[in-house]
Amino acid sequence: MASSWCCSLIVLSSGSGVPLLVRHVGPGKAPAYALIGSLNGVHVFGESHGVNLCNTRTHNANITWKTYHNSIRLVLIRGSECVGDECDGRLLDLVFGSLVLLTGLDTLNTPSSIERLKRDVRACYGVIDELLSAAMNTHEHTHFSHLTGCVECVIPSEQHTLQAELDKFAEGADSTYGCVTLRGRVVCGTRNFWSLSHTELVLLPLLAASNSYTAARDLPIYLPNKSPNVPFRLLVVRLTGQVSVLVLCGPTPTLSEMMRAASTFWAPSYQVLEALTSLGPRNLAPNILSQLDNAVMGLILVNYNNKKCVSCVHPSEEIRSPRGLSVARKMSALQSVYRALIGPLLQPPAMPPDDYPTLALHPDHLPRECYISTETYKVYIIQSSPYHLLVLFPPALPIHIARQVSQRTLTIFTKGKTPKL
Amino acid sequence: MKLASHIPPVGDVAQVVERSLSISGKLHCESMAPEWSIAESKTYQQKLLIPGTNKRKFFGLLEKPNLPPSAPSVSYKIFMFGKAGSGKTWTMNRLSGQDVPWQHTETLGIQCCTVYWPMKIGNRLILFRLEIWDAGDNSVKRYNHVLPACREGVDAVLVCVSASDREGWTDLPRLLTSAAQPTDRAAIIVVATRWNNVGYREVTENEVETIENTHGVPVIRLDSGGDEQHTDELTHTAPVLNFICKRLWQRDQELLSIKQ
Repeated sequence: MASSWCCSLIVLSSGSGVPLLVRHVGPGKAPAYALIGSLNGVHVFGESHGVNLCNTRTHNANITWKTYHNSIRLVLIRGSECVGDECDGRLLDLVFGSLVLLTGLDTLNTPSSIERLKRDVRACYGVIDELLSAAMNTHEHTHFSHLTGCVECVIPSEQHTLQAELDKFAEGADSTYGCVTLRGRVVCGTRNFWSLSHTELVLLPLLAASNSYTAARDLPIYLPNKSPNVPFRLLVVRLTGQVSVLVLCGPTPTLSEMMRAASTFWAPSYQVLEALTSLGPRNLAPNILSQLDNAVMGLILVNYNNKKCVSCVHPSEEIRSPRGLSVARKMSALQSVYRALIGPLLQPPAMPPDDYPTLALHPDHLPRECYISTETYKVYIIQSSPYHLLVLFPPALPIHIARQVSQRTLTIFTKGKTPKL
Repeated sequence: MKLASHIPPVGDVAQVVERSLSISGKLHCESMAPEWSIAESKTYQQKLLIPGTNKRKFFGLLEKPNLPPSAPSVSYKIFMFGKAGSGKTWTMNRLSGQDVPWQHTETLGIQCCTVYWPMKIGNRLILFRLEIWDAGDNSVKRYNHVLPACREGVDAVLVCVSASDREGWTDLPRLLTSAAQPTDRAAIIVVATRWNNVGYREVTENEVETIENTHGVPVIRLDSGGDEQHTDELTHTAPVLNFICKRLWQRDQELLSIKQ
């Protein structure tokens, strides 16, 4: 049905079974109308017998169904050899979140006509494609936010100046929700910005980064959790080649006022903003990088309480390490380990949704650390509430060393008065 | 016109005002008088590129090309107007030298990009800053702040029409009347997109000329730049940008002469 590197998403009206949107990434074709009908039919059949069909596996694909608000049904067909993939449900939540983000919950639940709704959801193509290609790891700058449900950040060496400027700027725009992003990753945000839900925090930077050639945008959006029916305006201003400022506003200020304000307000900080560019693609400040052990080939750190995560697969200067794993391979190694272990073995500490699958391996104790060793890499995982840390090592590193280095790595981020993430 | 204080004294370019404004036929450099020193501007246009490549650099709101500080910069607002799918975003990307989307996606809300274009007028180098505003058709219909924001203080309206859409072309005269409010005195330019898609072209050269003559608007025939020419996108797009900037400059001179 699907090759292992492709992924299809179907959005249906659950009442009528009419497909509203079909997206496909990777090789092969999007599912045919007949297949869509059967996949929906199977679900409806189950429903009529009081069975809720959640997911199934064919010999080369995972299929996940999820119905939202009794009106919209999502079906995800994902080619995968990976067993126990609990992250597809979260991906569907994000897809539904992006439908609400750009069309509004009322429009989705009670559309004036199906044809009209089909037209309205076209606006979501861009964001949904981003999510699907991130899930398939086909992206140049893959994010982990679709997996972790937390927004991907960068950790600059000094945050206070930028934070103070951002607070002032947002205030000037009559808003308390604002953030500065570097290539779609959050550098700093206002206090209220961090009060947004996980879904909103993941989707807003993604939406802002989905269009890389514009200097400013005025996007009418709904907040999937905070305001699903009353639209806001997300104003995105690209200050330098890679740094943008995002502000969530009401009817004022207009986009041109915002552009004028941004160019006068941020001009004195140009050097500070431009210096941020040097953080990419490592996402970590040099003073943190220098503390990392040489054996560390890559890492993901998630703080579920603060809804933040940070990833780094370029700890050393060379793009391709002598140990032979390319950046893309490191990314997919970390992704597949996260998929395989966080959920089935290690419970995400703070944020599992109500219908989160129960522990698949049923251990009679709660594991705090674990590792996976393959021919090409070793990954050590530490759970220390509210953190999950995954560290990628070369395969030959003895496991007790990997453990020590991982524990030291965690303290680099957590020691001090204010944790770095 | 925003940065009125930066306009050079009118006397300098007085000849420009007297230039006949009837523009018709193909819009290429050969029709231009010596005061539009396009060849000379070329050295400055290199500053728009990422060093060592033929690709245009992206300038954030706080950035601009590295030109002699003596060169005044003038800013114009351009609004892309046209029905859904007529190629507004595509045209915007072509003008800004960014990759054009390979498939049609609807534009969300308003998007705005800035295109810098250095040009010598007389013997003075001027940096044109074109602020191009583009709005998705669906957003225009759903949210009533979108269209007024785009139309506010507009200097030029680029009316997009797809050369492969017969119906759209027939509708062009109606579009032209609603493209701008008369009070804006905006320069109106038609952009025929997908022009090199000859197999699907539904519009003939004669029809284009008829529109130019009956409505007094110039028509830019914009092709995709093609993959083979992709290596030198700037040279390919230069005549179009030269034309738009020249048209905007002339409009300024007209407005100034009316005031006097």
